[in-house]
Amino acid sequence: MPDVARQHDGARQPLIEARGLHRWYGSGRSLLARRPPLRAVDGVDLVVYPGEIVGLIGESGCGKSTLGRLLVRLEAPTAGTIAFAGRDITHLRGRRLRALRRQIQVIFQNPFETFDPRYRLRQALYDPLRIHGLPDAERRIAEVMERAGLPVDRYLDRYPRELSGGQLQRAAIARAMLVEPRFVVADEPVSMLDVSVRAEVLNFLLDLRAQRQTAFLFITHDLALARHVCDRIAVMYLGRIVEEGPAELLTSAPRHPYTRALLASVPDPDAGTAASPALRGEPPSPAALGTGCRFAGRCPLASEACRRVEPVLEPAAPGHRVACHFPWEEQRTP
Amino acid sequence: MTRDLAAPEAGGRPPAAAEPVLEIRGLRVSYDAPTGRVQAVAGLDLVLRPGDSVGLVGESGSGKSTVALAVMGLLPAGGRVDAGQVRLLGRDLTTLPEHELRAVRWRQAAMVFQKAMSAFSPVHRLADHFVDVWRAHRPERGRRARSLALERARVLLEAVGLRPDALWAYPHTLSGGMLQRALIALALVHQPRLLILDEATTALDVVTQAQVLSEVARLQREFDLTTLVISHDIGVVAALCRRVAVLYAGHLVEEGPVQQVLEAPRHPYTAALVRAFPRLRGPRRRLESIPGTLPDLTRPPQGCVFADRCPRAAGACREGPPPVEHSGGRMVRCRFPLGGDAGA
Repeated sequence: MPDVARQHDGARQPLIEARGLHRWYGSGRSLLARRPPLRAVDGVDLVVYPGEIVGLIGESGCGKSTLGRLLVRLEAPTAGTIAFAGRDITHLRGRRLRALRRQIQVIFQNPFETFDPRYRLRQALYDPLRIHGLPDAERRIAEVMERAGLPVDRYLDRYPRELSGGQLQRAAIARAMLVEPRFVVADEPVSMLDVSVRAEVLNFLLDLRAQRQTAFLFITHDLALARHVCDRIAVMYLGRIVEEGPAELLTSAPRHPYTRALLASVPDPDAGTAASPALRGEPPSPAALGTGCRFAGRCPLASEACRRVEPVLEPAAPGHRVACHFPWEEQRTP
Repeated sequence: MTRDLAAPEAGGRPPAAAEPVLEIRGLRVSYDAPTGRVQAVAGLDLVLRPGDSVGLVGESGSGKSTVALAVMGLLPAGGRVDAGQVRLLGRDLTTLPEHELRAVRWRQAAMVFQKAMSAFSPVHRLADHFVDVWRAHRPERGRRARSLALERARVLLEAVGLRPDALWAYPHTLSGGMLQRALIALALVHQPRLLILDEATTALDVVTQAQVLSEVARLQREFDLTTLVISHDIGVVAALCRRVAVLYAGHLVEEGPVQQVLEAPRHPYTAALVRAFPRLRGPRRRLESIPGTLPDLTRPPQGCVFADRCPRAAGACREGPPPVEHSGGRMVRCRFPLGGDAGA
């Protein structure tokens, strides 16, 4: 797994490359007053290489799901570009966009909302193949369902409600993988599932990556989970990526004070007491951003400079970037 | 006292002789289902002494929320207590009529649920909720009731890290974390002896959860609370509890001091659950699942409920209920517990 991350500096071509991506909502005026837009995604550069699993971490409202929706072209960016395999797809429409949908798939959190409760799995699985005009439907479905641990003779004629959450989520992944996409956005794919079945869903996903070199953007709020699943992790705060690096490095030696706070907040089964909270307060509204670093208001290290000048993502170590005027390690004392 | 599950070595524990705050004995609860009755809780024993904090962990369908609802007398239609006792401060709640149960709720036992947003009325300010709860159990009326209630509310809001002027806010203007805090404050209005937290921080972001957990840990000390924490997250239980009880398919399979159980689980299910939980430290590894599914609880198996998913199961496990072993403040319900040979 980690070797994928190491190859980046070479000449490999990114599969997905987002540059200066913005998505603002409600810009302009409301009925009564001019209101500032809600800046859900506010200047994101992100690259995903073939066969790579990139974790996108952040709290509710940080813009991580919006970013995922932009990358699969479910929403159009306010500004910025998205390239897929070197080709600009920011403004694709019509037939070309439909063709792209075969290459880029998405998996959502709740499998019971993914499937139409009125149709058996058979129908739900045949549809994408028919839409994309792919031959050998029987064989493809049997193959991918077998790998999902849902043999067709037992599961194909079932309705969604006749499967458990874990089984249905594996069926959702199976359906997404049927058309052999090269890039998949998985938005909190296991957060509704019991701990005991999460692994079977995630390992299914990891096996597919190993076999087909599928790349994933894995959106989650769970850092411990991301550490075990992802090659690289990007941490998002109020519409921007504040730190990005190899999963192991980012979780063992985080540089951004926000990443450090996130890590310190995860309840540790081995610690045995409630940690003292790493941060006070809650993030400000993404509709009320001032100048300077957007984390400055909650940051224990913030100085005057932080409130004036917004830091940009800069290399801190090979493959590790951080947007902070005072990244950790440069501090003498913790 | 027939037996005592309290760990003598856990620091600061009151003497075992102290009258339990909550004593559950042989509790059986079932629900109506189209295919028969579902045995949700199958003979549960659990004792919480004053100042105790016990985490009840288990997955969906394990029966952990049913236990909480049975304690509060809040089982939904179709659910009923088939056998056993739930003694709160010595009084069996399973036989109390509804009007007497009402006197118990809020005053002796209070419960905080997961979804704070649906616990508050959207058209009333927080202040009105505090006044309502106050009046329900106090003799004062009119302005006097209101001013006493608000006085208490201000103290409690500060105790959970909210500003007293949150009283004048409507629920929809507050964040999820603030609402969850307000709900905890509301539960403490009448100084209950027992506080039940049912996935009370599950819907919160990790940073907010850490804030609320540390506040609850402080409240446990300051208000001398006895707490039952229901969670699927062993990290949350480790943060708030001294003891943990592991529930599987309606049966307690293991119980003991949190750190001991998590570090050296004795029941194969506990061991699998702990392994499935991803950690921030230690080696990165392929995550492990627990193959299989819960047994059909309309026809509970004759033998051990975990046998079908258990790597250690043998023929004997399927024939009859597993033996219960008590030692060193720990309980395990298993024929072949882990660490048994070493004399644990």
